[in-house]
Amino acid sequence: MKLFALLTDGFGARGGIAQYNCDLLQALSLSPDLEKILVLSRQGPKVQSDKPPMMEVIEPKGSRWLYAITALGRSGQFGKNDWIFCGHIYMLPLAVALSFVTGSRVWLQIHGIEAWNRGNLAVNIAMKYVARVTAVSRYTRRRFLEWSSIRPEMVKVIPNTVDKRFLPGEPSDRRRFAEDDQKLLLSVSRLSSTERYKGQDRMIETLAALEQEHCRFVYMIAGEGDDISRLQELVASHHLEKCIRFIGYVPDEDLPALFRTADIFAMPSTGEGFGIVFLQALACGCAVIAGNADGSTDPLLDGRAGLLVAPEDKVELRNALKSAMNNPIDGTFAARIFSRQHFEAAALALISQFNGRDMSGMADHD
Amino acid sequence: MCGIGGIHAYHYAAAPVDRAELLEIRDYMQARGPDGSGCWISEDYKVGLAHRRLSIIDLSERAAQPMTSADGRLVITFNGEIYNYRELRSELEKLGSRFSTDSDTEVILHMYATHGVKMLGMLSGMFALAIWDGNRRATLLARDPYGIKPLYIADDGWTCRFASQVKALLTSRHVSRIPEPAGIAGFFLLGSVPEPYTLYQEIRAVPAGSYQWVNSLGPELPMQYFDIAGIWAEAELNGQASTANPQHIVREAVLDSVRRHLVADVPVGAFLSAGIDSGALVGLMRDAGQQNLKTVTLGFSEYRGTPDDETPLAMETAHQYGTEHEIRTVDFAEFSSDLPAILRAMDQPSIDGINAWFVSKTASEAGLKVAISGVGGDELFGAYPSFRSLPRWVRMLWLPSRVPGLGYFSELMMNAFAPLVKGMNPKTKGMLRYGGTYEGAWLLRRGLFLPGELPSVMGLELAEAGLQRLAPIRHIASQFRVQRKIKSPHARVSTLESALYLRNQLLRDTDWASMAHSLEVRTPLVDAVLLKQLAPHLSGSNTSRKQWLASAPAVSLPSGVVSKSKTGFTTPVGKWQQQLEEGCIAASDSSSPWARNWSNVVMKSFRDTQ
Repeated sequence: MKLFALLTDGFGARGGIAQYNCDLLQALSLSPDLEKILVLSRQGPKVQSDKPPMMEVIEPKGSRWLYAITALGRSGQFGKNDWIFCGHIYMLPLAVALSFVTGSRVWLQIHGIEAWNRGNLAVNIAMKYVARVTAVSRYTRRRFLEWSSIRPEMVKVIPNTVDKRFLPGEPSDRRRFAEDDQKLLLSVSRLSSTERYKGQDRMIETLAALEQEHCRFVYMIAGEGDDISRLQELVASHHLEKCIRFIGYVPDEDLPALFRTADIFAMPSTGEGFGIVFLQALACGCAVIAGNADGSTDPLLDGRAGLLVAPEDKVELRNALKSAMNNPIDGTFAARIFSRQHFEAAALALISQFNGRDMSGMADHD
Repeated sequence: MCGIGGIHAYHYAAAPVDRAELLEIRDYMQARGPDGSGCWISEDYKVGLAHRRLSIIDLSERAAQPMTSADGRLVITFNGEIYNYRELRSELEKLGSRFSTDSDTEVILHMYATHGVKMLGMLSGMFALAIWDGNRRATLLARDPYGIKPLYIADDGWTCRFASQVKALLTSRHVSRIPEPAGIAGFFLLGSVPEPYTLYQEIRAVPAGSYQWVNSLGPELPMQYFDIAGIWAEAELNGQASTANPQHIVREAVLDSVRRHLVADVPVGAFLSAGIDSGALVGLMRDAGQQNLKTVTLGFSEYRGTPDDETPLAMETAHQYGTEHEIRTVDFAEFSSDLPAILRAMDQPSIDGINAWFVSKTASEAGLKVAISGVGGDELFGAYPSFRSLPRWVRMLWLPSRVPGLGYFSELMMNAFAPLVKGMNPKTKGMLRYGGTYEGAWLLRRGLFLPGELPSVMGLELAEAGLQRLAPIRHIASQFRVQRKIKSPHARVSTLESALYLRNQLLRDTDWASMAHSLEVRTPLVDAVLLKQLAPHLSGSNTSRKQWLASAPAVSLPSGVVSKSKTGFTTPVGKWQQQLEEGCIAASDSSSPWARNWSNVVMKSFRDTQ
């Protein structure tokens, strides 16, 4: 059995989707059921160094047409026993078109917000030919099943895993950011005007109230994007410049140290597919606060590993922040649960199930 | 008869089984099993099974559930009765199995250990079960061939919860209440929620005649081990049975089914109406040697002295077979006082079930724990008017319905002129559009509302989503999805009536209404073995074969019962509903407005309790 992986962001690219796809394909490369994985990405570096030998990575094609032509050109080696892995729902029409040419079955990966609402006409038509779906979280699965007619049994959850680099440890330069008696709060995300759901606004407004109560804290906002100036104005309007700092983009390799420096990772988001940053923060020993209305409930294990709040409820958020400052929950065990070992075992179980049974006839009405 | 429940936290990130949650699911079903309860949780807290018991076979504590196999590898929770358990047990004993109870539950455990899932096809009876297989580290969920016993699963992607009732699952705060448009649309189209859908997106029925594995990746697709259309197809393939005396075959087959359905360690009574089905079954119960038979009949004060009153003819039948007979008269006051309890007990919305409620109440008050019901006879022997009308409609409308756009156009025209035609059945508008196929004609015949009417009943957005997800015509036609297409009109109509109306409405109503009164209802005419025996003799028939059933008992039914035209079980619920002055709906021009109005009353009660 061979796998043709169509990705938006491949090996070496930034972001949660790229990370997940790489983790999954690397896990699949361990499968005795798979003889070859061919990867075609839209974005990413040209040279791949850390790929397994059975994986071939084609040079990324940024242009949509060039990408499609390349995919068609390389599809000749796939047949009806093989699978086309579609790493993003936007690429589904192409994946299904290739499946018509090759006879291969289509496996769709859904990550988050892009799969929560009904897709365009082409995606809807293509959805009828999808044989398997994997979702990163229960929430994404539920939202997907709300609009698609795919049988629920065919949509499995394989959550993100966390890299071994994310471990608890001594904070390196805590004093650079806060005094000893101040709690260090952190959020990490893109600061884009299209992603305001991340909840920095709500954090700033809630912290303004906490500041009035003489709570001692510093809130570090990591990330870059076109929304920074608006957020800075909001901070200024509350006169919180001293205790809220924008620390800019933090490269992936520096993230573990940053998480270790913080006491609390708080991001009351409403749009997380899963929220890999929560898991990374938990793994490094942060107390974590997240919203309870999206995929964030999964890394926080329904509140077992951290505090979940109604993201729009500022009173609840304020209480959660105070609680985390005084009695932080140790959620490091979440890293063991979402370990690579478990992730690989699930991915391998899935691929062996693909190999064992015909999965056709997956829509409720074929 | 019992209530079963369970939690399988299959995903590596799932929270361990919460005992309190499991017990809450179980104890919601207290009425299904008032005689005892049990709970089993695996050592790693990944799986929990629960059971509420109504003791019918082997009343001892040894037979309590969940039951574990001697080697500890298998654990079962089971709702139902296996009528051939004694034969299966003696075969298993020959193969070396050793038993520690006299229950049918232990027989299932040994059957599974010996034959695996193939054992499902060997069980004769009604059942819903869950077996935890420790070797395979998976849970097997299964339902009987016709789906007499219910089983629902709620899978959130990490944890699969299951129970005999939708409402039991809703006791868990982890089960989503997001509505399922297909279930709501299905209810307004057909008067009951078509399985596998429920009112909730996350909760689905394990399909009848199917089993489903839950392993480390969650529930797998259901696998069908029995389907009604398949039996008819097989009968057609083998050619119509030629026998000089089909009546004798029918007598022997139904008597055999009745005999099997009498297996119990408590007295078995019977529901008795003025019809042939229940009367013949009572006669055959006598032929099978049943002594001291107790029968119950329901009467309505509104029907006294009218042809709808079933009590005089039922009384004649009771006298004929010498049963201890009880008649109970229900009036509006009792109906209105019971209505809150009826709606609470109703597990999923249904426009029917009032009769089942009161007759179960009567049987329970008469001290019965088990009662035989004649449900299913009309579907098998072709007694519904649909067995005549559907083939006629399809013959007449086959060609015009295939003219592109004609059906749609005629519906549009009729909609425009409908206000001018007084008393027109609203479903007439859909004749040309739907009447040319069996699935479409069946929708017209059984339909409560037509698809085009749904936006006015449930709102445009929900109706569109519901119709898109349910795809009603394809859903109905999917009952014919077998290797070989069935041709006989009788087989086609019987398949649709049995796999849709009987399954989703009559059997489901019988289940919740009887279970609310801790009563087990057995249905000898809804039986896979019986269908296999009779299909070759019935598939070619184009008239009702009820007379064969009427002549089955050694002592004949009263002539009044045999000659009485089929009236069906009716209740004055429409009149009562008007008296209640409940909410009214737009479709006041329906030929049967009470059913349409009643559907809104029922749905409203479900919305209010969400």
